[in-house]
Amino acid sequence: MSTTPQIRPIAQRKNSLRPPTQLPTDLAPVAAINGICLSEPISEWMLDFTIDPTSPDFAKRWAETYRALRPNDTWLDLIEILPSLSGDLRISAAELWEAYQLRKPEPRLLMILPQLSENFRAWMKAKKIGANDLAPLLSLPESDDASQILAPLMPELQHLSRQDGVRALELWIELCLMDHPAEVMARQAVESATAWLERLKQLRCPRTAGQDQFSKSWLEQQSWPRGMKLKFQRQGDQSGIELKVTLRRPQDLTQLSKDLDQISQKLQQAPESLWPKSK
Amino acid sequence: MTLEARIAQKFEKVFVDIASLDSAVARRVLPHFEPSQITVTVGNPWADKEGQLSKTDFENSKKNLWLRPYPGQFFKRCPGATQKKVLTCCNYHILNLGSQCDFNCSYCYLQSYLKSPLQQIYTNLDQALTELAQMADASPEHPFRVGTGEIIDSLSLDPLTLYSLELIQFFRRYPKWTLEFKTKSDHVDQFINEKHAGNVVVSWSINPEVIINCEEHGTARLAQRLAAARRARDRGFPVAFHIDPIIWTPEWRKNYLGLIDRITTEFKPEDLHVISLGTLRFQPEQRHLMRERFGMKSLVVSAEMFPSEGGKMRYDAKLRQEMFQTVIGAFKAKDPKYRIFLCMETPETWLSAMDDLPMKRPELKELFRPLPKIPDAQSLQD
Repeated sequence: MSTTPQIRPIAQRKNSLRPPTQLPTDLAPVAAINGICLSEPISEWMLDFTIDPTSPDFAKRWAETYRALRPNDTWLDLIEILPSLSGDLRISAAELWEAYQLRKPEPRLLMILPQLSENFRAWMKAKKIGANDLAPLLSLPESDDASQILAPLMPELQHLSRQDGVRALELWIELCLMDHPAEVMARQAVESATAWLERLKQLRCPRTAGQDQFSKSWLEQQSWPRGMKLKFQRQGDQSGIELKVTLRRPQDLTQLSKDLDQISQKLQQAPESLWPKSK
Repeated sequence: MTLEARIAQKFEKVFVDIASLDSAVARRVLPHFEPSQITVTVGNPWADKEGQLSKTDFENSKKNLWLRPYPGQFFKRCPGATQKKVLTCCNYHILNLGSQCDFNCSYCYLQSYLKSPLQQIYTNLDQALTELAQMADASPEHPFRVGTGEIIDSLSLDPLTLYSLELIQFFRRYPKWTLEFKTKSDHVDQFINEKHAGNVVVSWSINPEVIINCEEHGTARLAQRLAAARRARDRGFPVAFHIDPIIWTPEWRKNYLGLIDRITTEFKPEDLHVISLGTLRFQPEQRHLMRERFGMKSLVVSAEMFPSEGGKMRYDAKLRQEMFQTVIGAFKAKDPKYRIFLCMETPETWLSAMDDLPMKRPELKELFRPLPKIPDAQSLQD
């Protein structure tokens, strides 16, 4: 930062970019650049960094100075101040993001974010949502009102972890784009947030979900040897049967061998989705 | 309008590195552009736009051409070889003579691979051939297979660059080595009369017409690709087909059985070098750009995909097994001599689809036999 700061009376301030973030102390001046306070004034004085507005690299120096004074700002903080910078100051997202060494934001994302509700932005901030997490928003047609599309999702996001919330956002947008009616996608009164997320996944992959459900039900309907638990499992692209058995004494091993034979015979009659026939 | 002019029309601007101005390829390409479309550059004209590409950047990269010398190593192992712990790999090697593709397939892996907003043609082919000669002279008896269609279509721009002519001529010196042109175009006439050593495979990535219409935008139609393959075969070039990616639709069986019927009617096993199969797969992060560019109506974007070992998104393993068994079974029913292998698949899928790993199959042994590791170009020069 090459500018020399000057202490000025706060009365000379031009504006402020954000509300106070620290407890006021009587003497601490507020940081400012060219008379613009970087937070709501909390003392009588500001420490003003002056940058020649006519210099060719004004925007770059402004952004670097801002970064030096507010090193912990996240991309969401930058999004909030961006509208105030792009007017008279003519500082664009590119300079600001470069100063913070962040990947340049998608111009379309910058257009969509202001349309989103306060609730959505609060969720983004609380869960430290990154720009990549919001990539599904870029698939919405420009004519669509993102805020309206996401409105039914908002209450549910509060009950989900960060990871599940991001997944729910993507599934919600994809299902909207696949013309699923919002009332079908919405959480039912009796449904937990986790069960609802699971249902969204099933709506998104109906063929696989249907087959998995069929296999699961078939396994549950069968009677298995005592002490054996067979459960249908999906892990990514693989699915199969989890078999749990507890051996309590060495003789159980002899019984296990017989039980496995019995299971094997039963699985020969299993539906193909559970146990595909070999060629 | 000539074919060359039609190809040039795909580009709005062409940047030429000052070091490439005198190259043979620049002399062939530039006359097809207005002076106002040409910019001579020193270095990367859009260096500031390098990085993860947005939808606009990626689409622009198909309209802006950059002719420049490639500063790195041309000859590399196929990306499948770097995942040998997970995938069964066929020892393919790649020779990159450019990057980006002027076609627009929804599933294209370049969407998660490319970081440059320009389509590039590397102008220092002579250097690539020198590098290749060093490798070939070091291992002339090993059956290396080299493909030029990894990050650029081998032939879509070839009527402009005419790189095929020099490559075919070069490979005449190394009859044990195999060169493969892989394409979704029907551009073969520029080299078809060239004298060759029978070791230049011309291959087509193909799919049923319905998939081409929905997902392979701007490419040659199935009938055009098959007609070009017949022309290449009739001139003695070995031909290969890559049915990759196999894409699910409710009628996938009918679609692919119809395709196999067409192939086997027109090409006998002895006409075909190999047939490779692969099902739809992509890096997870690629889904965002695909969704943004092609929407949820695309069969690829709306596909039911799951994370697989190795990190890529794939269809359910049982569906993949069914797809492979159906396609392989249909070929073998026509004639067991068709030489078929799976591309970038796990050993488990090989076993479920073909009963054996490729090393145990006589017709595939040669392709999968381990080859000496390639030393880098620098150590060869030393």
